[in-house]
Amino acid sequence: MTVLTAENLCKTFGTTRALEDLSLSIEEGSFFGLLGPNGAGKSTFMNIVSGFLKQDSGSLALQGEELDPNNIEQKKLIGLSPQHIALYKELSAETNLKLFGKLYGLSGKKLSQQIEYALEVAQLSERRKSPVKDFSGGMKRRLNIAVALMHKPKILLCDEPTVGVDPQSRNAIFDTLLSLKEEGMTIVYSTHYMEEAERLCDQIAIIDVGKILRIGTLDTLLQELPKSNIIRARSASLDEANTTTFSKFGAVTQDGSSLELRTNEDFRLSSFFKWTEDQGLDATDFQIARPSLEDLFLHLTGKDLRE
Amino acid sequence: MRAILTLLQKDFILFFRDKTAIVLTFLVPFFVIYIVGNIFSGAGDNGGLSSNIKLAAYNESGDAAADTFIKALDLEESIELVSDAPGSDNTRVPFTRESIRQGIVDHHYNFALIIPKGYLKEDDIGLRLEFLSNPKNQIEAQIINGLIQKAVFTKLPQLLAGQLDEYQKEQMGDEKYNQFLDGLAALITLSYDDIEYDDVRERMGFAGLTELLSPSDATDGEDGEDQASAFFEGIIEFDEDQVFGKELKNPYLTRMIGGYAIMFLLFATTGSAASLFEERNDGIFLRILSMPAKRTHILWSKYLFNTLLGVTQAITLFIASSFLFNVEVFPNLPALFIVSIFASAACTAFGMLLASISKTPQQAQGFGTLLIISMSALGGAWFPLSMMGPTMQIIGKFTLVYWGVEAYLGALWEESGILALLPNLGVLAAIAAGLIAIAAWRFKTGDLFR
Repeated sequence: MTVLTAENLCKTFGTTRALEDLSLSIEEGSFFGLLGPNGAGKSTFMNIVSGFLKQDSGSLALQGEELDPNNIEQKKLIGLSPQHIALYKELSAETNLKLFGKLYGLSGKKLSQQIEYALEVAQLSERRKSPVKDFSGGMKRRLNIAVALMHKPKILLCDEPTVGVDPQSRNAIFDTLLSLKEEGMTIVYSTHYMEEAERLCDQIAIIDVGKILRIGTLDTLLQELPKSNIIRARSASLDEANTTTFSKFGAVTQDGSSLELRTNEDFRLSSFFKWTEDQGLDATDFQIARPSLEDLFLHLTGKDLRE
Repeated sequence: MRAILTLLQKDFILFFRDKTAIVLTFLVPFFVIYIVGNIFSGAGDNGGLSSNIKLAAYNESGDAAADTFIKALDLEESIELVSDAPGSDNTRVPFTRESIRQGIVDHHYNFALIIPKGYLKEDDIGLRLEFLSNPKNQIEAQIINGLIQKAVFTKLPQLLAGQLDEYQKEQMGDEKYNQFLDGLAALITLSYDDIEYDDVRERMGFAGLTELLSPSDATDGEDGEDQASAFFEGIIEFDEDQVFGKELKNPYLTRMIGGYAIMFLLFATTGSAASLFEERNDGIFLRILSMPAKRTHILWSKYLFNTLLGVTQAITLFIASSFLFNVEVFPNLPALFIVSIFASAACTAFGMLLASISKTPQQAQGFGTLLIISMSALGGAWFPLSMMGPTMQIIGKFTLVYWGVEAYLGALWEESGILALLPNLGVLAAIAAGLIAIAAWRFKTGDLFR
């Protein structure tokens, strides 16, 4: 069942087109990724879905009903974890949760229960009384997500929730989000880290300059790439003669101290290993890599994801 | 040194990127000198007074000579003479003793002069005048006192002297009185070699003497005025009736505190405007608006909080003034509380408007400084409005400072009840409503929620 549908969304800020005919649909219970570089329009999309911004044109439907920023019942279906740490930093974790919970219309026992739930999700039960300003970056990020879960939304919008977070906290956030997905929550996750999209998302939309370039599962997206492999070797492993014959397998580019070979379509792995044997090279000096979303983005836009 | 220069360069770069800040940098001092210049540009001739202070004058005696004195007052450039009271159907009626005092109570003017029946002393040479005042602004009160004294000491003596001549003629008869003056003139002429009889005779009598001492005589100038003052000081008596503020323990601070309370509230609101930007930049608004809340909820919650905070701070300020400087706050506390609610509501609405029209906290600060200084000067928080030109006086009445200061003066200085304060409170409420309506509209379309 489709939970969120966007059709031809357009949004302009001054002369900058932030979204241009953006269309997508998100299935209930899925982990939907929006992958794109900074300024691609991911946050604009999130802000329109959350009701903060209004699109210039196009339509947005939640569970088949047009999304109205003034519709309180619809808002209760959505939880937003903004890109900023949108918390009152002088207040404790518990007080933040209490205030935002009340804004979601919670009170009394229900509010207390949800505070406990959110603190547990954020793994902050022990630090509930500490002011947010004393938290580490990862703790703040977790609480930032937990606030959006206070009312147990159907859809959780996570706008780059791991920016500035150490790997350990990042993994904790991933685990939290994956367990929420297990519980049936739909998660819309924006990121410019292709590793995160590859690891977490069922469906990925690649977005750049306000346009969706491709949407699909990781496998279907990667099938878009020309059938080729990437073989990397340390430059020092190959002499001039080796390098010349190495290039018969495909296009060779220098990448720092490595040589990167993007193989031809008729590439055969057996031929390659035979060549290493003939050249007296150690096959373990070569690394065969699977094409990634980074490659796909490069293929589609001609630029790097982190540009 | 290199680090200092680099950081200095950084500040200049940031400054020149904010076009509004650049404009305000030049606009604020321009406005300040424009307003102050308008007030003091006439300094010299009128001691800085560039416009008129209303003075009501009533000749209860009906005496023609007293009318001449009132006309003399009317000739004073700095006095706007009010000579009648409003009647029914937009007519004007002559003053009565009651209506001229009521004019002060009703704030049509703050000063009035009555020339009472029997203003000429019966048992002595001299006269008695009645002066009614509401000296709620000390500068204005000092100026009007000076102007009346000047008029009395320079103009009235001539009239008084004429009356003395007439009095003597009545007592002695024309013939005897003229014979007396002829003889006296002849005696003086004989005593001095270098004077002519006709010159001396011409100056004989009270009228001639006062003409001699009059400052209108170009040759005498200020010396003549001083001599006249000294001469008549003992024979003119003022019965003063201070209509408001008579019993106050600390009249000076009581007059000033309302203006400073309003300025304090206004500056506090610019701080609250900046806090809106902080929350925006932290993404708090984004989060709140993703919840079942609207922009108007944010606006009203901020408005109510800052209004209540303003009321608390204003009341604290007044109570502190009571304990520290004997300002009589507690008898008027209910009225002060009500005025503080309205004043704070208007000032907070001003702060919300600032936030809604500014793109950055720096811009809000700049606009705030410009507008607060301008409004404070024009609204009478620093100088009485009467020191400004007529146009500036009209502009001043469009500022919330003017109505706030008037309301606080009403509560503290005039010790008016709530009913008497209603007009001022009504205007403050209207200003608050107008400003908050514009702010709400700007919040919907402006930059604060982008």
